Amino acid sequence: MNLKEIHYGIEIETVKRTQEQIAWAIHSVVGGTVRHVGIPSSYDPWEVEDLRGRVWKVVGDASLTSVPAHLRAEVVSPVLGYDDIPQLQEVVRAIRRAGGKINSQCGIHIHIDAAPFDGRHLGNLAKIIYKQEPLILHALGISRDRLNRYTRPVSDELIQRIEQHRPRTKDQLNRIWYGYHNRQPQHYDNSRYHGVNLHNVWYRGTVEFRWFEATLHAGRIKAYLQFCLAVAAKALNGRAASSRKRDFDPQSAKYDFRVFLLHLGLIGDEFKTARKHLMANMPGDAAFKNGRPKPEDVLPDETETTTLTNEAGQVPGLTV
Amino acid sequence: MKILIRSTTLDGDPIPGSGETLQAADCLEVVELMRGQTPFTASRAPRDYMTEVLSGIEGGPTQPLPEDTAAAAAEFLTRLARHGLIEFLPDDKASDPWPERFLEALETVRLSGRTNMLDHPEVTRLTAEMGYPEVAVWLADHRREYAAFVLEGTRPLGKNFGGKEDPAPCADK
Repeated sequence: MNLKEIHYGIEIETVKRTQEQIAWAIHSVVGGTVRHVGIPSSYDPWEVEDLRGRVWKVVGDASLTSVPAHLRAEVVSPVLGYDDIPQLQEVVRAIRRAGGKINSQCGIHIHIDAAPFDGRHLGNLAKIIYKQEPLILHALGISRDRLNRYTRPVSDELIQRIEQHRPRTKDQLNRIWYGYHNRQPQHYDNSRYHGVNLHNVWYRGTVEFRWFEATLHAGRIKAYLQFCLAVAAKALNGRAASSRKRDFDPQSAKYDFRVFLLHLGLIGDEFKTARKHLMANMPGDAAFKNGRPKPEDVLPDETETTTLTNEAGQVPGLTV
Repeated sequence: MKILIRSTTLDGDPIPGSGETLQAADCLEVVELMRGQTPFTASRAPRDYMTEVLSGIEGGPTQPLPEDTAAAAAEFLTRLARHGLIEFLPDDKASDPWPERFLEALETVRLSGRTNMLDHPEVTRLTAEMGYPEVAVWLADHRREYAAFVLEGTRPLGKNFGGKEDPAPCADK
């Protein structure tokens, strides 16, 4: 399956503007109608139904405690396709122009449609992430606080159980994820606070990536999306995946991560900005695994120095 | 609906907040207005006009527009907005004006003295009870507008205002 065939959705948390203002900013790009739903009042949702009939939601977010309640807004996109990335970028730019901001509490969650995945694919996904997690976490520059609370790494125990039981269906993986067969997952299940949240597979039908610090930089958001889609496509297309965890080596980190991105298929001009943004935080050299070789001290060429003399055997020139 | 057709730089890049405003009843009428702006495009069939504009922007053959003309117009405008070439603006008229007997209903409730007028759920219940069901329905859906009316006597309209432009060091920002 090509990464361009996978559907996704995105949640972007913002501050400094009301839900209504953010809703109108979205409307400026997608058109259609803006509606204040207001129920449930705790989320106080606004909806923008675009010209294609898709609904963009803007809801309140209680987790953004550092700003007044009416200046917290979370944008929830409809189900989007790869071709919608330019429109999503334009929406992000409109929010920025309307005065939307982010702070350290804001985050971005990306949801990938879990319909094409079975237990084996989801196991592959967990293993791919587990193997490359030291690089991924470093590349995304996740704060220590977020890492400890909301985006915990893939656990060794989960990978061991996946290796042990080799799940082939989502139900088999459900038992591995929860430790029992959870037929009625709740929204605020504690297991959701992982960078790769498989709890959502059974709660909402998506794989949720929770790693990202918020940004209103359209290019970075595109990079995050392409990365998630590429990882998902890799998991779907692979027969198996290695779970041997990679060590983080500062000297070769940038090179290793670039190789990983190319391995995911993020090759060529189309993914140039994705590679740029994703590798920006990495130490080392992108082209040399062991660092760029230092140029040797080049010895000056032993050029023959010839002295021109005239017929009289004298060196021409002024004589003092 | 109302749109702003953004001016562009010589390179074809849209300039935010600039341009010309068009207003019409629906997407198809907006496209008709756009098509009629120059004699070169006015003579073209709407579908040909839309396809030509999109191929000029997207370069080469584009994804075909839907068969239905209204849906094609909506898709056309959506794709223009995706490239930042147009911006959808809030309509001038109030998005959902209050019902005819709104002021009468509120005065009746106020004079009854049975509730604080800031108690939105109770005011909604009393308007229905006192014979103004259409006002009660409107109040149930417009809590924010009602609060603004009671406090300020006006209805706030959503504004998508342009904030301070920040420099964009990255071409894809």
